[in-house]
Amino acid sequence: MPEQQTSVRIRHCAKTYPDGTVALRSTDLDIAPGEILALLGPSGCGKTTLLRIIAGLETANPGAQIFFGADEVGGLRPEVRQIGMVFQHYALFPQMDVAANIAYGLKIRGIAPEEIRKRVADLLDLVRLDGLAHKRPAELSGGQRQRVALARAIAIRPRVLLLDEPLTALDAKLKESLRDELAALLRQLHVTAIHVTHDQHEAMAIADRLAVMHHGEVIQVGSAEQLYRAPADAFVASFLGHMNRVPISFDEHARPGIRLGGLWLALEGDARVAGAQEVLIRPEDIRLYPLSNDPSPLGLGRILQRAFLGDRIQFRVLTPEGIELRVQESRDCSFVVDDSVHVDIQRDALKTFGVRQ
Amino acid sequence: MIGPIGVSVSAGFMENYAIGWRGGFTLRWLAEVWSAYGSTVMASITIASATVFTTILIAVPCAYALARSKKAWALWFEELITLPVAVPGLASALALILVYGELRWFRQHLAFILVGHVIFTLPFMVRVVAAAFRRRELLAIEEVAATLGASFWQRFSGLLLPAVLPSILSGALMVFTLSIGEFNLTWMLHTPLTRTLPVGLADSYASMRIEIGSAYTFVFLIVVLPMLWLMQLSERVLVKRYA
Repeated sequence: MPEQQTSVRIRHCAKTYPDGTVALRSTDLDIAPGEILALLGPSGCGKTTLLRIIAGLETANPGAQIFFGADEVGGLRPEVRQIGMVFQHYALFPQMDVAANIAYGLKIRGIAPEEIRKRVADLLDLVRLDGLAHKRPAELSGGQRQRVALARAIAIRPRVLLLDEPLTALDAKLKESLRDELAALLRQLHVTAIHVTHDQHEAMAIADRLAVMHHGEVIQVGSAEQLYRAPADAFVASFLGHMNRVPISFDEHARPGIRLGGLWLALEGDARVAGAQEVLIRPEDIRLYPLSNDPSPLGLGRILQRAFLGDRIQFRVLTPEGIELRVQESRDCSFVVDDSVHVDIQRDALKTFGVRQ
Repeated sequence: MIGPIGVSVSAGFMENYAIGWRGGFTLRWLAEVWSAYGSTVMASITIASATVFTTILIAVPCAYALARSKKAWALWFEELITLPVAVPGLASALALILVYGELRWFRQHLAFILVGHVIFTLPFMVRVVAAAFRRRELLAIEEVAATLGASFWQRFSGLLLPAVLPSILSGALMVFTLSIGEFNLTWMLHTPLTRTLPVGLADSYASMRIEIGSAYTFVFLIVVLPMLWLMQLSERVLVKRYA
């Protein structure tokens, strides 16, 4: 759809409100032509502020630069930036039907009616809304409205597509199916896209790379796998999936480690980080085994809770030290509440982080 | 309220209110009202219509500016234009007379009363329309249109105005109602040549028979009610179409 793929370069982009609130700290980001980048983080982390600055709907602090390809667009009004934007609640024009909504940006550009009709028909086909061209937004379901908003945004062949939590307003089931649909459509369009979300599953499914944000700054940028396997800090680790947190203690030789299930696990190699106060362990890096009479190098625990999640079973296990662990096992696992079990923790999966400056 | 108004209206058709219907039915008082005060009907409708038109012209841009402004002065300004509602109409009228009373042409023209009515009714229109402009979905619609390339005027005229039209009409209904029934200000501002319906009504009650005053009430209702009904109907149609 786009005439040509555009890169996005963001330099020294920050936003401080007149009352002194810092919404966004100085941010640099590079997005390759045709790449889909997710800005991921909790509410209030600055992701929407950054997106709105890129759109031109919010003014950054002086000194910020935004490039679309070689063009500096930071000082331009939104109407001349040639962006497409999908808002959280879609913001469809209520008095216009679906076709008129999609055609709006084309009409504004003075494109010939015949060309508009053709493009609208193509887009209706692309987003699977054939037959709904003359429906009003109020007559559509949430998923259909989301597709109209997307078709309207891409109709103008934007240089950059901006998506502000486009799936948040949908129910869980619809969200999941539209997530995959949106990912496939964006790849089909080869458009440079920036997708804001607080849902890590959505970001992982749709984006090529993720920029995790917290307290107004980008903490880490990378592929979903990089971020999941090698998080830059405890926040990124916890935000992308659950983490068990176990406090660090010291043995008689003042060496750091954790006491878990009656065993002492010393921290070695990369896991020894100065200033770290706790060890993070992913639920899938812990295994449960039946108790045996043989002397075992495994720790002990008792099942507190068992939750069948369809594709897996999630347990809450209490260790003799009073630490609760979340553990994920296959759906065939037969342990029940109050069973005593052996707990095996992959030593190389222990992660520690120093205090962020 | 319906009871007393009904009694008052029926008195306008009695030969003699003191003896009631036994005295007989007549249209004489109605004819006398029309011959003495007929001009006030057109004056009131003209002023109320012009007040609606003028308040829309001033209030819509003003409401938009207030709704979009993040400055503290916007709140103060909104309070300031509400002041004429709190200040007694007599005081506002006196202020107008003191400042503009010497402008003879203006003082003797309906426009003088129009200014008073606009000052009094403007805050009602501004508040209603500003509330509509402040709706979160309208802000989003405006922003999405900007990202699609629409200029300010294209956004304002093509999307925002149709969206706030029901509120404008609702404000217009309120302004028309307030203007056509306004007495305090108008009583001070009027001249013998610029009397409105309520001023004429007060005059007839004060200086003529009770039957004439009552017939005047009937004339007032006959003029006002169909217009209010028509405006309400239009508002409902627009709400159905645009809200």
